[in-house]
Amino acid sequence: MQQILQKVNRIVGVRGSLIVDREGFVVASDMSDRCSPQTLAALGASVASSLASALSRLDRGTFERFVVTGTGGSVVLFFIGHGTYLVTLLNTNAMLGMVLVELKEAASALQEILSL
Amino acid sequence: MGWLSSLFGGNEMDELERVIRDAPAPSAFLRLAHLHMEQGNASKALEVARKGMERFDSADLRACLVDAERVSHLAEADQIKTKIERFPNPTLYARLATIYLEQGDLDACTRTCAIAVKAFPDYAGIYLVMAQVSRKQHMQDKVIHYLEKATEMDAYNYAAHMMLAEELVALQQKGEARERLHMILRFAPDDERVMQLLSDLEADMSSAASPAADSEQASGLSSNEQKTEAHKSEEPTRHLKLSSPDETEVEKNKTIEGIMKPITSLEGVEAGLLVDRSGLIVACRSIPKNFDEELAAAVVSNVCRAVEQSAGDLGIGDFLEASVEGDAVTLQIMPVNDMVLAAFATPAVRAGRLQRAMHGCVQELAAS
Repeated sequence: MQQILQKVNRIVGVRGSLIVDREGFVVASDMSDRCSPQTLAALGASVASSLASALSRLDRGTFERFVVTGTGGSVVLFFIGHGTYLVTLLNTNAMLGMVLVELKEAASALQEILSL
Repeated sequence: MGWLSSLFGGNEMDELERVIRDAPAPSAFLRLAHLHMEQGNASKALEVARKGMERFDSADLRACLVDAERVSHLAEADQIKTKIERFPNPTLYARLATIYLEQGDLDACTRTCAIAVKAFPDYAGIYLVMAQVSRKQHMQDKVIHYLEKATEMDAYNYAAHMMLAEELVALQQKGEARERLHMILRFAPDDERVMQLLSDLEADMSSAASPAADSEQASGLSSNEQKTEAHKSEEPTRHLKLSSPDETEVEKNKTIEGIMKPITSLEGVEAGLLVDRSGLIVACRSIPKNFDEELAAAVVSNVCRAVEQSAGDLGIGDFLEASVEGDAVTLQIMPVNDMVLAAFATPAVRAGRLQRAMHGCVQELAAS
């Protein structure tokens, strides 16, 4: 898991990434940034649980990905499976389209590890 | 002379900003805040005074902060009044009343609430402000009455449920308070604040409970649960009707929905919602049957609240937009002034086109 996170962090514009479970506990993290993993994990878990529950009640399937963009960067949340999420913090210079492709691959790799 | 003083003021401001950057001192923050005030830029003055207070807790800076807040609020109140004249809308009344409340002008706040209730009787948000005024006036019966009204009209109003739970705790009606908190968890699962309050409440109740009280509590719980279930089945089919007695206002509300048309006319878009920060629907368009727009609005405002709470700590700046993708849905969210615009679409929607339509709509709404 750590290796996958390190690979994610080598993508241009990525400030850090972590894996969080639905309770908000950090499963693995690689945050080179000053930002606290707990803050990122709390946002990830809070948004993920709220969206997953609401989409199910709205009969709109399951939640897969959440991207929030601010004036100073973005946060991307990918559902990995088994109640865990890959959360990535990006700079404004990140090429979002490319990053999403890479993150999807990373999420698949993490899913395989979690299925073992 | 105006331009000359502005020029000198500008030079001095540059110099003060440099001082603040290199060797910050309370006097520099104070002077810069005053210069911004003199130039009529109250919001900038407020920002400088806040930054100053974060570093130095000085009495002068505190007084300056209070002053800047007052001027900034007055400027905002004037802007809102102008907007209300052109484009009456219940959230504007609620914001105006809140400004008066924050300024301690309870009479003006009460008057604004009365006008809003008359013009928009179905808007729950104003009852929340009325409860806040009543709390300031120590009229607890009224506080409870208005909060019950607000939650009855809007079963997903986080702030109203939360305030009601706090009031009930203060009145030692802990079973009912717990019930209110559980209601919030139905639309904001795992909400940290609610979970904390619930755990405190449970601990408090279990420590206070005697064997006799235990049985009483157990029967109280079951009756509460029954009430909750009953409430679920008869949950108000709340819908914020933007219609007012005045036909021109109805026309204006139609205009909001007109502005949203480029979004909802896109292929794959199921619904467009304009929601205020407490999760109330200001306008909605193309809502399909069996789509719970109140729940959708509550989710949208929850996501915004979660993002805005963490954005500063994460260093991602001001919230610009968010997108959610699921196996059967695409949801796009954008803040606009004190509201949030959201579009629910199928995964087949062209994300770029939806985003462009949303940006256009946000600009139009902001300009209106």
